[in-house]
Amino acid sequence: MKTQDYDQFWALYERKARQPIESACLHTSRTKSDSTMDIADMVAWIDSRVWTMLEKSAWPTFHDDPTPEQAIERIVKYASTLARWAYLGLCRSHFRRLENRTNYMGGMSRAQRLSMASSVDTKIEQREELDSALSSLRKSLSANDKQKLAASWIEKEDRSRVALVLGATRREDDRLITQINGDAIAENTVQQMRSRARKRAQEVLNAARKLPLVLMGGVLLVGIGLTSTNAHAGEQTGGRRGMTSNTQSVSQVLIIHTSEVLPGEQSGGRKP
Amino acid sequence: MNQSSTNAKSQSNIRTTIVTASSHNELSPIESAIMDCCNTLHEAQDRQDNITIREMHDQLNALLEQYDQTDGENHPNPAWARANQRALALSAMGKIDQAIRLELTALKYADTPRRLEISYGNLADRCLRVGEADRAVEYFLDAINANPESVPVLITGAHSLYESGYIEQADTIFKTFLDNPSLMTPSSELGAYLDCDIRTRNLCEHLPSLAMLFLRWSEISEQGKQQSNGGQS
Repeated sequence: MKTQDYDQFWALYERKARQPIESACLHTSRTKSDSTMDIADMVAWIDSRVWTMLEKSAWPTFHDDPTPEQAIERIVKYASTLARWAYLGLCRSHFRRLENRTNYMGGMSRAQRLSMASSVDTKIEQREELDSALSSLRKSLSANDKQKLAASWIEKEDRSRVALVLGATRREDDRLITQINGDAIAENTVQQMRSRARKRAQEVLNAARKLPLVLMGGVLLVGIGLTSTNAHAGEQTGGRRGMTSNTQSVSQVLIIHTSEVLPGEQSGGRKP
Repeated sequence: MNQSSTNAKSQSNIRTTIVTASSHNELSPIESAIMDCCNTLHEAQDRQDNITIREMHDQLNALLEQYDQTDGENHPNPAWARANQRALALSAMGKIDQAIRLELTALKYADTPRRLEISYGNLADRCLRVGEADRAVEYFLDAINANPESVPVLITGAHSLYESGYIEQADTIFKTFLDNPSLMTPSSELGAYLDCDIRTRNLCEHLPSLAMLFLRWSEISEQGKQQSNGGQS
């Protein structure tokens, strides 16, 4: 390849070859090192190898004076070979480093061990079951919110009607309303339930403010359904008779809840 | 649910936790020191080592003072960072209710998905430690919404779900980890939880996938040791 074509070659390399090389490195790192070998290290090794081959017009890519396009085609075609070379080139130092780290980590205190932990740079795969479990959980929680909102409604006689409006018509919804109406649950617990359910409804409405206008309309309809008799936003109902728990601020509610007493935290960083 | 409440009793004594960061390079020197002190303090509280507890209290107070004086060591979002770091320290000192209130303050200033994830995740963890499992589940769902890939959040979520009686869903989280061996590297967050978090260890009696995960983890650790022994001889 002629020297004046180098710039064009590297531009094409960045545009067309980078992605296949990264994919090949990811695959090799997974299969050969259980994803412990850093992809960036492998890609950097290949970059430097390609640069050396180009400088020396070396086989198997640059030996017959190819055009930049031809050379890129060859690199893309043999990306997996390049990734394997990178693995072979790096494996000795990589496994030595892993071994040192294992020895070192064996003798560390818990705080030292945790200070070395960091997130793995791969996405969680095969998570369909997890996503579906979380999605059904979200739905069930939302049904529970409706149930609690209706069952803890301040006027006893309106509870079933509110449940109907909200669509809280499951057997367990009826059971909870009956229990609360029959004073089977302590008043304090019902007040807490009301406060939480109203806070949750408020959160849903607050989130709706960020939605586009069409969706906003839908959420408002639900909101109207919820507010057909009394204002339900706990933080805004101060001074109403019999609504003392609703006038409490979120932090006050938290103080009450946390005083009932019975993993892991994350530290923030500089990154956004 | 019975199983859950029994477990709630057995785990209620454990009020400590572990603190991790997604990358140590992200932390400033004071933030790193706060994280180390918090982990040391949690460990000391597990051991009821009063001398270390006192020492760490003093160190944390000094570090927080310095952090406030430098406005979060020039953090891009000091309003969030200062509250978040102080909440971490309060939580390690055992003042979990105060930590929750402060983290809620931090949450108001959380302006990126990462900060939202950290604040919601920490709230879930603390609510769980004060016995508010339902609330923990809600915060967990908010946290995982902010970052679906976060391993610490998923583990906290699994605990919250288990304590709230969603045992199958809790097990599904660990089953997903089993299907992702790339997450189980020696210095990974998952590895740190499996090695250092007592509550996660206790939970493996009740969740089959977590028990399998521990088995797999001990095999990986054993392989690592054998490799290093082979290398030395």
